[in-house]
Order: sequence, then structure tokens, then C-alpha cells
Amino acid sequence: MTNYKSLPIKFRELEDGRTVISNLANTYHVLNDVQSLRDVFEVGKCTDTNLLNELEQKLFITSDLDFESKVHLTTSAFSKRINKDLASPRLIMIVPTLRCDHHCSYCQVSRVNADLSGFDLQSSQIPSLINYITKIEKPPYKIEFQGGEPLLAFDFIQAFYERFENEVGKGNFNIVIATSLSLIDESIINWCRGKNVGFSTSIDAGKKAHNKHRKLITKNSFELVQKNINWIHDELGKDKIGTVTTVTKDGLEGYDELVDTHMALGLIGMFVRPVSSYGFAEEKQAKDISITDFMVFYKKLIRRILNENLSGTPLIEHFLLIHYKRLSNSPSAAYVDLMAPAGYLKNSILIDYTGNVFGSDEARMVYRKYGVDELIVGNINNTELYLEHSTQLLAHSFNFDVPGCSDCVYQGSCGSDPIYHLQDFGEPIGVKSYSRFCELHKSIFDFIFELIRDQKYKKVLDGWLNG
Amino acid sequence: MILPLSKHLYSELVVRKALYWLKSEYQWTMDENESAWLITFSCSQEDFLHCKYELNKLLNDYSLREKIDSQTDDLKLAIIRKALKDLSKE
Amino acid sequence: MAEVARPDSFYVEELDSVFGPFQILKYRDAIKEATPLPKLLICESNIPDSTIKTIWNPLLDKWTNHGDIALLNGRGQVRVVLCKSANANTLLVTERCDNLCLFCSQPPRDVDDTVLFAYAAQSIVSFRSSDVIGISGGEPLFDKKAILNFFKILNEFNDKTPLHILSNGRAFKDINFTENFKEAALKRKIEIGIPLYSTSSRTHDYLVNSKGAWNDTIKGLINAGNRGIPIELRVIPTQANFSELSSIVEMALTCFNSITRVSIMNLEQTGWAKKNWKNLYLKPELYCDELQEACLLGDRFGVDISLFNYPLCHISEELYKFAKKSISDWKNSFPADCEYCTIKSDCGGFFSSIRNMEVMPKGRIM
Repeated sequence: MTNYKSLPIKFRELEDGRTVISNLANTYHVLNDVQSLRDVFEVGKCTDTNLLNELEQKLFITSDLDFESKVHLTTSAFSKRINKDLASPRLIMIVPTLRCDHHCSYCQVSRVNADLSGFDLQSSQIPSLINYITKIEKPPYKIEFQGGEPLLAFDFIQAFYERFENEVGKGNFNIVIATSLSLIDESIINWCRGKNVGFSTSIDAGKKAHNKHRKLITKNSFELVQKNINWIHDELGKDKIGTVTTVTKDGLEGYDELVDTHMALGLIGMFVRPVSSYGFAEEKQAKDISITDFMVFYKKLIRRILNENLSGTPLIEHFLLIHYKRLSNSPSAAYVDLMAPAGYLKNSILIDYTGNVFGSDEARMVYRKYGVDELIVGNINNTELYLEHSTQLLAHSFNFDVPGCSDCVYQGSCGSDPIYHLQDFGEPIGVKSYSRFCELHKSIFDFIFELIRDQKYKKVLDGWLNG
Repeated sequence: MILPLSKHLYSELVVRKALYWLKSEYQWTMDENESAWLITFSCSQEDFLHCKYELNKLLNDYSLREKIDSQTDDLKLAIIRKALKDLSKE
Repeated sequence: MAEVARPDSFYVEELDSVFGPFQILKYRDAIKEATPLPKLLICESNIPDSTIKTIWNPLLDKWTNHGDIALLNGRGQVRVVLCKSANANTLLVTERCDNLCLFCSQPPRDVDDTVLFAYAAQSIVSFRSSDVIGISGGEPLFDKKAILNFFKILNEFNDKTPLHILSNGRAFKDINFTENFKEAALKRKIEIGIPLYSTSSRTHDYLVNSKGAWNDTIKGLINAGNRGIPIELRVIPTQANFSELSSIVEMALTCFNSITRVSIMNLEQTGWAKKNWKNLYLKPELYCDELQEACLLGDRFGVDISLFNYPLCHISEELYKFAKKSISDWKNSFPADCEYCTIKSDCGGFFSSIRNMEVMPKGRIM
């Protein structure tokens, strides 16, 4: 095709000299260099017919004749993408207690000692709690218990489970307990058997980092966590335990150890991300890890994981997978922190031990740290909703009309995080050139394009897509 | 150290976008006269050189974007508006 | 070639002057006798005072079931159009069409055949199936009034038979019609099979031999998808479009809503495809990379992608899991050599329509 029209595009030059382009339909293509970009889109003359055909098929250019339809197609794809982020179901987080038996240096939440009273949700509040949940969301329900240490409120969880199952039916919900696992015992395991209850626990990159950050009375947090993961694995099943790894300065050498630990435990999934400055963490650890440092660690980690996959060991790193799914327009890429408009409130909700309702975990932390009342959205004990502030936050969380994001090639795949930017910049949009959120996700998207240049790595990632 | 940028070569938006992404260690203020944008940097002579290189790269990037976008900007707005309108109907 | 699995057309001399759709009964049945269509009782013994037309024909009796629907042409031919023992039933509702596909298996005729819609509606209501019935043509949505009326009849009888409609989708470019269609049709489980042959008009319009077809189909897919009308996207690879196979699927899954599944269908050697075969047909072996790439998009987009009418000996093993057996059992057969094939039971076989073709079973797969 000799005569063609361009459709709106965005571009970014990668470190290796290639140029990524994207369009409003959120399809991507990698050009060999900036000159190809200029030839096709600026000058409008290109002799590479194969390239032109590919670009036409992917909605970057169009013939005059098809222009109107290609615009309709682009608009439709754009709507579809936004709709996906609007329509995903909410994650419902419940903090039954603020009490905790650990004292972790990067703890994101304020915590209180295990023996204090006045920091728990009461069993008598369960009916109001369930009533609230069923009012704001429809089945299937995704519920996550957090804390403090939720296992210190295990009685509450049991009572909740029984009543909830009665109300909504056994197959209609799924519970995850986010815990250090230090308090797992026989009775908890027995109770969980056969129920839709799973566990999520935090493992640092390496035993040294893990034990350094967690001060447990018995001092052997890492060994304990491993033992208990095995226990859950054997008694309840592989799919009942997931891990989250928060990388701090102390863990930057621990990439191999992290993989070895997971493989030894027979775990197939990992979720790795850098520590992020909220609540108490900010003062202590967060300032230490730059995104640059994290990416050095992360790239080594991922290459190790991909090579394990090539040798036949199934192992998925879910943080990377989420980014890959977003780039691929996969439907199951709902990750609250990476949505635009933001996942805050519309895709997550958190019910605190006080009965107060927040739009996200981070919102609760910011409230605890700065006392920002506007972040309280409601309370399970009444029907009032305080949505004005949150509506403002959400209205400013589209990223096509915002400085820094409006020209970004990854705009259609990235998200906005109004609470993070609220804390760091005092307003929900922030200055993206200073934003760790921006730097992190952009780096990971760049990294993915670097990785999939190698067909065998691309094949591994494609194999993860149905997971 | 003042860096003049000809208004013939660069629009205000291109200059501001380039400055947006400039590394934070380069502190700047922006002024203008009739024919040029005047960017004042507070840094040493040596740093100024590095800063100019970096800024040039960004100016080049955003100029290119401006040229490419000039043909498709209206279309982009129309697409986004239509998409949002459709969504608000559902 | 071997005989087809189940014959559906018979000559019965005594039905020489009988015309129209009938429901076949093997015995008196009060419930069925209350449904719209006239009845044809196939029974050996003569029941006196029977108000129902009764005949005996052993061949007809063997290949039909109680409740099947047949169309009689007034010259003794009895064609079974809805059969309880078929693995798929399809009704022809019109021969009119606004496309002229180079591979059309039912070449269009510009005749006023709206009566076929009435027959079809009555047949469906009388047949009372919980299995999907296919609606095809021509172009079933060509006459918008007729298709809406068809649903009106079905809805009046509160019929909930699930339907699968084959359409080029062009009618859906009309938003009002799309809205009306949705209202009327979605009272039951329904799926519209819409083919898209290219990401651009030149190739698609060439293949369907109609200028402006692609434009209309694209608009139609957008409108129908947005209204929540379930769509099965169909693609037929040919010499003209095989190289963009995965691009077509990728574009569809990125841009359209309500796509329930994608079906990639091997060219069938019937109708006009026969005369255009040399210019259209491409052996699957020659585009297996493109097939593979297209099938893998299923995992990426979370949608089922299936291959139809691809005998297993003509595709690579990695694609076996995508290959489904033929849609219509009356089309398949297995040539003699297939007896030795170890995976015969998983295979859809070959079309009975194939004549003098290079397409033959690859020989023994041990």
C-alpha cells in the first residue's frame, strides 16, 4: 500500500535503540529504530511493504477507504479496555484485628501488641459486616483477611465463615488469610480442610533479610515460615498457599535464594515487588531502595525464573505476568494497583477493625499515618457513605489526560495510583517524572519488551497467560 | 547559565514537556523574550554541558511527537470522547 | 467415497401431492398433535378413522424418529430437516443474500421465500428441542422484517429452543435493527456466527465478492457486540488471507465485545468453492505456523479457539487439541485408508463433498 493515513500513536525509544509504538486500541509494535518511525509516521514514505502490512493489520495505519471503520475499531477497543477496568469485581479486605505477634521493621500498618484489647472487630458485628458486603458487591466474593495478624482473631474468622456460608452459599466465595503463619496449628489446619480458605504469606528475598525484618520472640521466622508452608502444602493442597515478596535493600542479593526457597517448597507462584513508602515503612526502609536497584535485582530474578521454566520447572512470577497481561489485553489482568481509572474503591474495599470502610489498603495506611478523615468512605454500622473526596480521586485517575501519562507509550496498559501520589505529592496525580510508581511500571514494561525479543522467553511468558 | 531556545524551533509545550522529564538534579527556571525561551540553570559549567545534552534529547523526542501528533490529535480526542460517551450510556 | 453417515432425503410415491412441513409421528401423541405443524404418522398398521395422514415406508421409518420434522416438496420427496438423532440440525430460512462469497456453499437466489421463515418458526416450535438448532441461508438477516417476525412467532409460543444463526453481520450496521433484534432474540440462548476474512476491506470484499461488505460487517460486529449479542467469530483461511489469520483474530478479540468463541474453518468443497478451488484453497500444511499463532491467542484473550473440518492427518500434533469434529455429521465420511488410523475416533473425517481432490488421508498413522 502506497497511500495510507496514520492513526494516533505514541512511541518510546528503548535502551537497545528499538522503538516501541502503541495506539489507542492498546496494540504494540516494536520498530527497529527511530528512523523507521520517522519514515512511516512523520515523512509518510516507507518502502518496506511487509512493515506497512503489519502496521495496517495492527491498527497503526489505514487505507483511505477503510479509515472510518478503522477509527470505529480503535474507539471500540479503547472503550473495551476501559470497561474491563471498570467492570472487574472487588477485592474485599477485612482487618479483624490490629494485634500482631511480630514486630516487622517495614510494617505497613500500625500494629499493637498481641495482648491489648480494644483493637478487634467483635463477633457481634458480623451480621452488619456481612450485610455491608452483600450490599456493595455480588457473588462470587473475594475476601482477604489482613491485620495485624488475622490468626490472632481466628475465632472471628470462623464465626464469619459460618455465617457467610449460610447467607451466600458455599461455592460463592473464596477467602484468603494474609498471615505470617507463625500461629498456624493443628486445629486451624483441620478447620480449613475442605473449605474455600487459602493463605498468603510474606517471604523476603533470602533468610537474612527475612529474619532481619521480622522480630519474632523466637527469632527464627524464616525457618518457621518454611515449615508451615510445607505443612499447609501437605495437608491442604498446593493451591492453598501463596507468597508475596517485598524487596528491600537487605534482599538485593537474594534473588537466587528466593527462587531456591520456592522450588524447595514446591511452590509454583511468586509475587515480587519493591517496598513502597506508606505508613511506618517510609521512615525506615523505603528510602533505601531505588527503582534502579530493584530492577537490577528483578532482572536477575526473572532471568533465573525463565531459565528454570526452560529446564522444565514450572514457576511463575505474577508481578511480571500482570504487566505482560496488561500489554496483551488479556481479560484476567485485574490488579488493583495497575488500573486506569484507578482500582481504588471501585475494585477494592477495606473494612477496618473499627468498622470504618476504606477504598484500599493504602488508603487505610495513609489515614493511620496522617489522619486523613476524607479517606473514610463509610462504616459497617450505618448506611452513610462519604464519597465526595473519593469521587474526586477517581475522576482524576484517568491517565490519557494527565501530564506525564498523556504521551506515554504504555498508557493503555498502565494505571494510576491516586493514593500513592496523594501521599508522596499531596495530590492524586503527582509529578510523574519524580514518581516511583511511574518509574517502576515503566521499567517493567521496558523489560518485557527486552525479554520477548528472545523467542524462547516469549514462549514461556505466553505459556503463563492461561494461568 | 542561560540556555536560549528559539521559538521558531520549539513550541512552549515541547519545551515544558522536555523540562518535565529533566533529571531532578538540574534546577531550572523558565523565562522568555520575543524570539526565544530562556531556561536558566543553576549548575557548574561541566554539569551544564551534560544538562544541555540531556535536554536536547528530550526536546528532540517531544518535537518528533508534536510533528507526528499534529496530524492525528483531533482524531485522538474524537476517539476518546466517543468512547467515554458510549461508556456513560451503558 | 464412502457413504455418508445418515441419509436425510427420501422418495415416497404416495406423498406425491403433499406439500410443506410436517411433523413425523410414530404413534398417536396428544402433546405433539397440539403443535402448529400438520402430522404424518408413519405406522405399519392402519388405524381406522384416523384424521392424521398415515403411511408406511420402511426406509423412512428406519431413519426418522418420533417428532422429527420433514419438508415435503409436493413431488414425493421427503427431506428430514429436523432430526432427533442428528448431532446438529440446521434450517434454511432464505436463499437471498447480499454477499456473493467466492466459496459460497448455498449460492443465493433472489426469490421471495419468506414462507421459509414461517415454516422454520413452526418447525422449531413443534420440534421442541433443548439442543441448538442452526439457522442459515443465504443471509438470514437479509430481510429484517422477516427475521423479526420469525422471532415474534417463536416468542408468541414462548419457545426457548437455543439457536445458532449464521450471518454476514451486515444487517447489524443498523443500530435500530440491532436493538430490536436483541429484544426479540435474546429471550433464548442464541449465538450468531459471523465470518470476518480480513483486517482490511480489500481482501474481505474480494473474498465475499461484494463492495462495502467489510465496512458493514465491521460496523455490525461492533453494534451487535456492544448490545451483548453473543457472537461466534468465523474465519476461513484461503490463499488470499492466510497470512493475516492471527491478525484477524487478534483484531477481533481486541476490538469487539461479546465474542463467545472463534472458529477457524477449513474450506469446504461445495457450491462455488468448487469452481474457485484452485485460486482459493491452501493445504493446511502450508500455513500451519499461522494456524498455530492464531490458536495460541485463545489463552491470551481467554476465549475458545477451535479448528473445524481439519482432518488430523493434515495438521501438526500441537494443534490436535484445538481440532473439533465436524459440525454436521451428515457431511462426514472416512475413506478406506482411515481404518488404520489410530486417532480416527478423535478425527472429524473428510467431507463427503470432496471429489477428485488432492486432499486424501495421509496414509497410515501407526
